[in-house]
Amino acid sequence: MTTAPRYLGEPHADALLSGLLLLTQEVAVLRHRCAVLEAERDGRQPPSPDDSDLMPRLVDELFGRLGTTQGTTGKEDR
Amino acid sequence: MTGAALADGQTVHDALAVPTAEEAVRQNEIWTLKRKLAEEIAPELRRHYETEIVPRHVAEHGAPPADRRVIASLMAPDPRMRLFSALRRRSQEQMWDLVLTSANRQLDRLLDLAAGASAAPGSLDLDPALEIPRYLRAVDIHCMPTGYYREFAPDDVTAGALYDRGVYVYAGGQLGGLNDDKGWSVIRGYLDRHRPGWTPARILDMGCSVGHSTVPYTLRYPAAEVHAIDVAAPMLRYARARAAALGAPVHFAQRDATATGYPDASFDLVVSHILLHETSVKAVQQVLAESYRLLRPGGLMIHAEYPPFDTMDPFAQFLVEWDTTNNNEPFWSKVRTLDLVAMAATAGFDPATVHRELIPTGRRLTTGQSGSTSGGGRMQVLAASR
Ligand SMILES: C[S@@+](CC[C@H](N)C(=O)[O-])C[C@H]1O[C@@H](n2cnc3c(N)ncnc32)[C@H](O)[C@@H]1O
Repeated sequence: MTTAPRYLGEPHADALLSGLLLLTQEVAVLRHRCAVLEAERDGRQPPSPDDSDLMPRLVDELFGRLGTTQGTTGKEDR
Repeated sequence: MTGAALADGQTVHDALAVPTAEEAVRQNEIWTLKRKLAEEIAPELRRHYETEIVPRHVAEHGAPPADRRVIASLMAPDPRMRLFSALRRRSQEQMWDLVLTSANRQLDRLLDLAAGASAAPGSLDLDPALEIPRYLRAVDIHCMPTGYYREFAPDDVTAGALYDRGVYVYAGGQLGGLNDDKGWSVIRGYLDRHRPGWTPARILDMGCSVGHSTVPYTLRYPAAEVHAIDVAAPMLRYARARAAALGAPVHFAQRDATATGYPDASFDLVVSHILLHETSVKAVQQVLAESYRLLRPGGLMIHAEYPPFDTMDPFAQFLVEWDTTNNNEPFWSKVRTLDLVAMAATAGFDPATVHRELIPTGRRLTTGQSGSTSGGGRMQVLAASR
């Protein structure tokens, strides 16, 4: 495995970005657990695992800070 | 047996490393991220390039940027480009990591399944002495941490299991529930049109990986004997288990496509799907010569590859080239500049029979123009007959 390139100028920024992506996945898992518990409580079908807009929102937020705004979640025609 | 599909559409079969609900949630986050980058951010970068960078370059130099390399040098310092690159690279690494964790969790089951596949129709013939080409050992292609060939357990299938699920997430499902779109695209987009009603008796698929594209040939040509080769044993063991699970009688063998060892004139149809771009110039020439040697009179060679650079505009070329340097794909750009038609003639084919065409592919057709990063939606077919 070759060493992963670094793209972002600030020290540790690439590693922090990796961490942010991992944390986003953890939030998605926690949300999913809550949704499963709620569905059980209410006697509904368990929720689909692909029902999340966290990453598109994170990307919009990051690019938004660079002056680009993205308006959609990327899931519309899924 | 095949059955239901996962929530993201991948067809479940016995050999698939099926994610738990929470593994699926994580994998889906990466899928969604990759899709966002390809479908929204890449077109956004193109707009930025066309509306700001090109006019500035014209004002300063009297002409737009000459080619993909100049574009790369102009885009590299842009903070949006750097963020895009960082997100793409990290998402690629994390995708493999997530799928590998899931595959490792169920490795014992998959190893048992592969061991038990020996009675199914078809066969598996491994050659532990076969040398792995240097171009596969030098880097982990597309950041796949196992490579194609490395083994982590006796009679390992890890790399194959990782590839089957990983490619589905990687391609965002565009290859279909069984990742078989490339095989079907060649069959429907080329063979059915140019050789309708043909019934090849013996077919060889070179660089088959886990047999994603091989299995369609057993369905389209049920009377044919279908052979498939790869240099990587973990891919082939998994391919065998997967084909057995799908009821497809394929003869898998660990052989090098540049020197297969089959007798002359062994096959009516020799095919490959996205093999060439993961080799080298020398190997491509050898694969073409070997294809020629293996064909019977009247036989047909088809190598399906991603589209060459001369079919896309410079910005699309620039996005394609991103993978060469950032996604461990050393041959990804170079292969798109080769004169494959001339190379087929050098390999022995009558130039009058050699041709190249673009065929449609993909469940969801995206184009280089709309920001797809691989010039997706079309495949290049190099065909020649003996
Ligand atoms: C991108 S994958 C091919 C995917 C597959 N054909 C499909 O359509 O799903 C490339 C494969 O080619 C194999 N390969 C590379 N060089 C080879 C060679 N010289 N002979 C045989 N297989 C080779 C690799 O081990 C890898 O499994």
